Amino acid sequence: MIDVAPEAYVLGLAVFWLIVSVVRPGRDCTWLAIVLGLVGIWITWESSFRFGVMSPQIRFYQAYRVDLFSQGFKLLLMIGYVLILNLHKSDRSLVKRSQAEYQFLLAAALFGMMMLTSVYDLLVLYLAMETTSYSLYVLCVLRRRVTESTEAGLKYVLIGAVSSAVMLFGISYLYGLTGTTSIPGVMSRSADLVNTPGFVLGMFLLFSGLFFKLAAFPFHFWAPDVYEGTSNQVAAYLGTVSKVAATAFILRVVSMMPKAAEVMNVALYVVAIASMTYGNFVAIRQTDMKRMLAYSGIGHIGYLMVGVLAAINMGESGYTATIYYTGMYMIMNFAAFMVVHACVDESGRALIRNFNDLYRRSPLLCATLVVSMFTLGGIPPMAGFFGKLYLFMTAFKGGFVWLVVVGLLNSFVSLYYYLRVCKAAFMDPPAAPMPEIRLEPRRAALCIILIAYMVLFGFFSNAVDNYAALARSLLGPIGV
Amino acid sequence: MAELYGPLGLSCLLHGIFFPYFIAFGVIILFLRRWEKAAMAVSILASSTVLASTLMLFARHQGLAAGHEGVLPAATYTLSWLSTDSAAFQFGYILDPLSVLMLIVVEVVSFLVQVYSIGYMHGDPGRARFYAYLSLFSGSMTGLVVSPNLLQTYIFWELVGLCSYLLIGFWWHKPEAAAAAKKAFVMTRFGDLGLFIGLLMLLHAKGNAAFTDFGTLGLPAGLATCISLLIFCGVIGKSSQFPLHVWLPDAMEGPTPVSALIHAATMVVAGVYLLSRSAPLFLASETAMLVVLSFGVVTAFVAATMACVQRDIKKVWAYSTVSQLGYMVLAFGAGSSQASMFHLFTHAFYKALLFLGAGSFIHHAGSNDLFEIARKGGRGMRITFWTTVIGALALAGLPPFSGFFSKDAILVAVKENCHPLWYISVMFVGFLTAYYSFRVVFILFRKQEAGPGVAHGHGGHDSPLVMTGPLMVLALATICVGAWEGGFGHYLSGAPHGALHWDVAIPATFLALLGIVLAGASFGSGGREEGVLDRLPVMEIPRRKYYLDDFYYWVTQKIVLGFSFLCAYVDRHFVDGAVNGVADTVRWMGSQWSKMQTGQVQQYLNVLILIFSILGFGVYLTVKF
Amino acid sequence: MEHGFGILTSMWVTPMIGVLILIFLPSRYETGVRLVSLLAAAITLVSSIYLYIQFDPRGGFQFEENMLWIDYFGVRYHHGADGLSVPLLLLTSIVIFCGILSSWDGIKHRVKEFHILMLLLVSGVFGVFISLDAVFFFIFYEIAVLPMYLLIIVWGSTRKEYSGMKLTLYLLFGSVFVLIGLIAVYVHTGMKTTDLLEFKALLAANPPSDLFVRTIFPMMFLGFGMLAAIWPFHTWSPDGHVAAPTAASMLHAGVLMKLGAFGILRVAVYLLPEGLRYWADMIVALSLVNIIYGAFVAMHQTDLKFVIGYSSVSHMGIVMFGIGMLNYEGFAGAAFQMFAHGVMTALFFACVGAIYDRAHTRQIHAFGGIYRRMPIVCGAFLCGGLAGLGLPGFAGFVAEFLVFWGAFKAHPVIASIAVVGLVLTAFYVLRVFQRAFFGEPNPKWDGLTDSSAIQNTAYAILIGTMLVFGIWPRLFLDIAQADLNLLLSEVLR
Repeated sequence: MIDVAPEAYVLGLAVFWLIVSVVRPGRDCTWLAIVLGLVGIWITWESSFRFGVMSPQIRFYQAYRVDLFSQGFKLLLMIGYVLILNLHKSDRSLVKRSQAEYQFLLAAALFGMMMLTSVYDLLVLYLAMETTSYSLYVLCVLRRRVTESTEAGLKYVLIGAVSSAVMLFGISYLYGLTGTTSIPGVMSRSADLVNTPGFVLGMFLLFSGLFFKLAAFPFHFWAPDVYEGTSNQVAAYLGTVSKVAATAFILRVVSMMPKAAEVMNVALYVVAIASMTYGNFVAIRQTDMKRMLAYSGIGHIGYLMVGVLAAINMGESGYTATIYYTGMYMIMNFAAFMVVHACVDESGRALIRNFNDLYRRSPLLCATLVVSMFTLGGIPPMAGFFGKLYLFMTAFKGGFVWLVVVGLLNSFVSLYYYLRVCKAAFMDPPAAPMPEIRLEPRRAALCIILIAYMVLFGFFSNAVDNYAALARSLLGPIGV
Repeated sequence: MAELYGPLGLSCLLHGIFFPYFIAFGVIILFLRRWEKAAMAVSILASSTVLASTLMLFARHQGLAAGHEGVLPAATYTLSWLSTDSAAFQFGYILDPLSVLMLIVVEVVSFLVQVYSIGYMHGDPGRARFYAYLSLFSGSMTGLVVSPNLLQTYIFWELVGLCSYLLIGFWWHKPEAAAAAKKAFVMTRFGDLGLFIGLLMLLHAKGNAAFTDFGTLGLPAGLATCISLLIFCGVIGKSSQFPLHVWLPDAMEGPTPVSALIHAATMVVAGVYLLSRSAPLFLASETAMLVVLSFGVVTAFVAATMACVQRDIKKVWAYSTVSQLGYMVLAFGAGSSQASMFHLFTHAFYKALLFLGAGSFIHHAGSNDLFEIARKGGRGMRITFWTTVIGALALAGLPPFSGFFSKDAILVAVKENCHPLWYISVMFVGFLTAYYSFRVVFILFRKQEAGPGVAHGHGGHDSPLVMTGPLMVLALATICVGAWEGGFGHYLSGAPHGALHWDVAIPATFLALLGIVLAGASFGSGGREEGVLDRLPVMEIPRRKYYLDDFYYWVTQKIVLGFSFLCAYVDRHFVDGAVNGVADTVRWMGSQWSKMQTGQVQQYLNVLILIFSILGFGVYLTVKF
Repeated sequence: MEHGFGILTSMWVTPMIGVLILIFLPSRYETGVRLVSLLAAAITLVSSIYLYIQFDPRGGFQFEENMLWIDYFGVRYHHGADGLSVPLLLLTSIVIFCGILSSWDGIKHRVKEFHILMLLLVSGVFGVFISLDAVFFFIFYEIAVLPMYLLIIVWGSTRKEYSGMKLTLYLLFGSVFVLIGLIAVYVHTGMKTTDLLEFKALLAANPPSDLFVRTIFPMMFLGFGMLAAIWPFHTWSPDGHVAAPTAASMLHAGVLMKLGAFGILRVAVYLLPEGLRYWADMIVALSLVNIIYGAFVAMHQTDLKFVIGYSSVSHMGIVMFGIGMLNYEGFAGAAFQMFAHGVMTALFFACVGAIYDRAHTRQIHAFGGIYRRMPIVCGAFLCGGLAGLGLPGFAGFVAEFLVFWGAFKAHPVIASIAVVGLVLTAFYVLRVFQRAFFGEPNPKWDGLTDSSAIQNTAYAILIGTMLVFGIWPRLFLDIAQADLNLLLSEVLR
């Protein structure tokens, strides 16, 4: 059972934090959490790559599949989780007594996401989704003394509930048509059903639930409000880790039924273009950094959908590009959130003008911000550039020329607001003098690592190579 | 043909003529801007070196020519400067009688002007710069003269234009000078446009622009006409032919030695020189020749009339220069490039003389106004005054001064080759010439007036020897060179020594005398400021410069600047407006779309369901069931 | 095929090392900062002169460095210099060297950051000129463009934020099209390599359809053309020039705009020569508008830098014009014009910068007679202006002559119209002298001082370069001839 060790560990972690939250609710346990998280990374790594999942394992009565693909994503999720833990500023950000609760909910959400990468049955999918979502709903309201936080949580719950319902409805269609909830079961029967309205509707509704998780247009409404309202760590969690999980699941579904997924081409096409355009255009007008990141995230989901389309139609290279980009996106978006978190008082709003003169307040953070903005904007030689390049090259090859054109134009539009942030950080005078920001060594080191990662990635050929090869190797077990 | 000249000797001399001025320029501009005396010394040293080399070259060339049947063929000394697969350009020297003669003119006048300027520019804070520019000019002019092909000519053509610009605007703090400099440059450049296109056309047609090949180009007639006329455009600009002549009178804002050197003796005649250089091309086209002739005559006439009504001594000589340039051009148009060149040769000396004389007057009187100079005792400056009279006699074309001989040659050419109407016109211009030149003389001859601001006894002083010396040398040349007519023609074109044509000379002289008498009658006695001609109502036209300045002003202000305004407007509001428009649209769309984000969950859900339904419907439609 | 690192790598790495040193140099050592960056520039200057001398005029890519970089995409670390890029490398190092000299006193705050960005930018420029791999080309291209944004908004003037953003976005907008074009070629050639040379071979082996060539070429052309300020995508350039600080303007107008033209030749024309043949008339038409329209708009400007900015639009039009002529003269003229205009316009901006630093205005009508106080600056400006109006003796003349000659061979009538641009240039350039420098000295400017010895050095280098190449154009043409002919033969095949 070594193959489900990560999930087991995370579950254990969640239980541990639950107990702590009852016993010592107000205790700051950041360090402990980080150490435990690092152990989790080690365990995931060991379980996935050291011993290796030689062949895909189907577990729990055909409901759960563990393979290299899922393990790779689990590792990514685990890393993301530890990164988020690093953001934790114990003193002021959260309601004091919820410190351990916060840890519990993070771990619980992580558990749900990990399940999502291994889902092999539609009902498990639903379970995983809900496990994640419920944890996140609660996480959203943990912000201290901010009413928006509550409001954001409520919105999230409401829209999330609708989406879950929609998805469940879709699942019921698929079940009704095929008589099974097992994904391979559904797929094996899909051949005759591909072009029936019921099946198409079912697929469409199923995907909608995932679009919600990803905050793709038009299921994005919750994202800006929630990002703005919730605490920075949670926003970061939503903006990075949870999207990785949802992408993983989409890829898995698509890989298992490449033929059937083609019915989604049009929807994906529209969602991709709409998300890109909407996200980037609206982001231009934002004055709040977190809202801006939310909209830019919507735009990035648009790019990812391009990758999914390429995956459906192009096979291997499409998958590789998407996986590649997902990983990149998680890191670069995290870097941006990290700067937000470091610069902005938790109780205040993350207005862009609060970043004014960051260059003087903390050169290191400023550098991190600039680099992450450039990476998000896809400017070479930053890591994000290669991700985007790969994505678009693949899509171009697949014949989605217009999608590529729109995508590139959008990434050009996005530079406007990314550059504006850089400008604010580099030269705009602050409204009121702001103190220097002192980074703890832990986070300073993290900054340097992230900068190095984003800047030097492109220059170290092996990095790009290995990363792509890794992404490709994940595909083996899912039969691409 | 180089064997004939000997492989090295003459080309070395040519180096000695070509380089010193440029070296002097470089040395002065880089190191001697603050050491004025040193700058002058360097410049004059260069000038004398060049003059000596030129004279040696002339002597040796004459020697060669004497031992040679007919005209001495041209030799070129070149190295490859620019080459492409379709043409190659040489850079170097051409050595033939034409260039040698022209060199004589350029170097002699340059040298004299440089000496003269010691006196004239005394005390001017910018002397070093002045000498630098003079050196650059002389060097460029030399380069133009020895140029073996049209491209090199064009290069130095532009450079002398630059020097003209710099020297006209030498007193940059005078707004008129700055404006005149710009005008001169732009006007000539406008003409140069034609030359440039002609050059390109020639290159395109033949891949070659060497003057020595002009005789054997074998161009189709239309093309030859076209190229000739385009080259002539350059001549119109540079040699200030009508209607682009307007810059030359304005150019008098420059220091007077500059006017003498550039705007009388050397640069402005470059056009005429170029005509002679490219004579084979023009001769191939009758149309071109006729055009040249008519432009020359019109210019000669128009400028002469304007010269009659000027009060500014330099302006008189300026218009006179334009008129005389018209003579040279029309001589060429009449088919006698030899007469044209000879007139160039004689004119250079006497006009330089007149200008330097004018400079001497101005230096003394502190004013350009003829009557003012007279009031301040112009005639008391004996050397200056009498050399001016000699110059005026030559200009009026009275024997035995040089102008008489060259004009005679021109009139003969016109009479023999052209319609009588042209001949009559040119004769009439001769009359006007005599009138305006002696108008100046008679006005200057007036007695000094006693009055406030005029110190008694001051009138008798002439300018220092550095200024009068060159005047005397030039006066001597003015008296002598006319007699060389026969030798000149023989040297230049191998033509036999000709005699004077009395049937032309007598009426011309008579008309000139008539002009002098008229001038004498008008201005010789009494304090009148208006002569017979001035009272003619029709003279309002030349007084207003034939409305050309107004016309050009209108063109630049209304047409060119108007169009520029239009373009700028379009650029700001349409081209750039489109860019900003796109940006604004994106922003606008952004804000419109962000309105979807109202913060109200009900609405979110409504929109969600709506879009969701549309999407679903779209999927439904596109999937083939 | 594997060659190690060599002198070309040192071209772009030297400024990068300068950047690294500067990052760790405390910012209070301002002179030290300037010296370090000057030293870096000097080293590149020496290297580029060395390259120029060592370059074998028989052409082809030389000093090659070729290593596999990213196996997965087929990206190669492939550098090489040919007759087109060697002079541009020289140009770049001259301009950066002079740029640092001219901003020696002008930049007073954030000196360290300024020099870091300058060196970063120039490193990108060097990289573009030597890259023979599409990905590296693109990377360097962006490195060359982006620092300009910060240079403008921090140290600039006159609507700097608007202009900086406009410039950056415009250029990145252009690069979007370049990227699309490159992706299209990459996909067409089977996604095996991004090496331009191999692209070329693969395209030859598997010729793309006419439609492909006809759509992709204009994309790349316009993408790069935006950087070369092709009409109607030029409006970023005057705004950007005006807003940028002196040294940045120098680099920008002097070198960055050439990246566009260079990109057209190196990437668009090199890969898709048939596209040039097909679109040549269009290019001629657009660049004709550039030449004439640019000059007319320049005439109407009241700000010195705007005049120069639009003159650059006009002059870059000549480059495009030459490229559109499809003959050797046109190509050679275009290549030469890139070089000549780079030096010339750098000189212009150096002078205007010196004036602005002292007078704090650039309005032409506010001046008058400042020649009295600043003879050297005005003299240098005059040299720039004269070079700009195509005065023989300066490199610009030879370039323009070649272009117009080529143009005349191809399109006599259009060439004759374009030549009018020369007169227009004379008109507006001389107007500036007349209004601003000559005329009655305005007592308001009695306090102005002339340029410092350091700035004079910069002027001397720039003017000297123009003169040397103008008097002896073979110095340039012998280097470029073989490669231009090669490129041309591809186009005409």
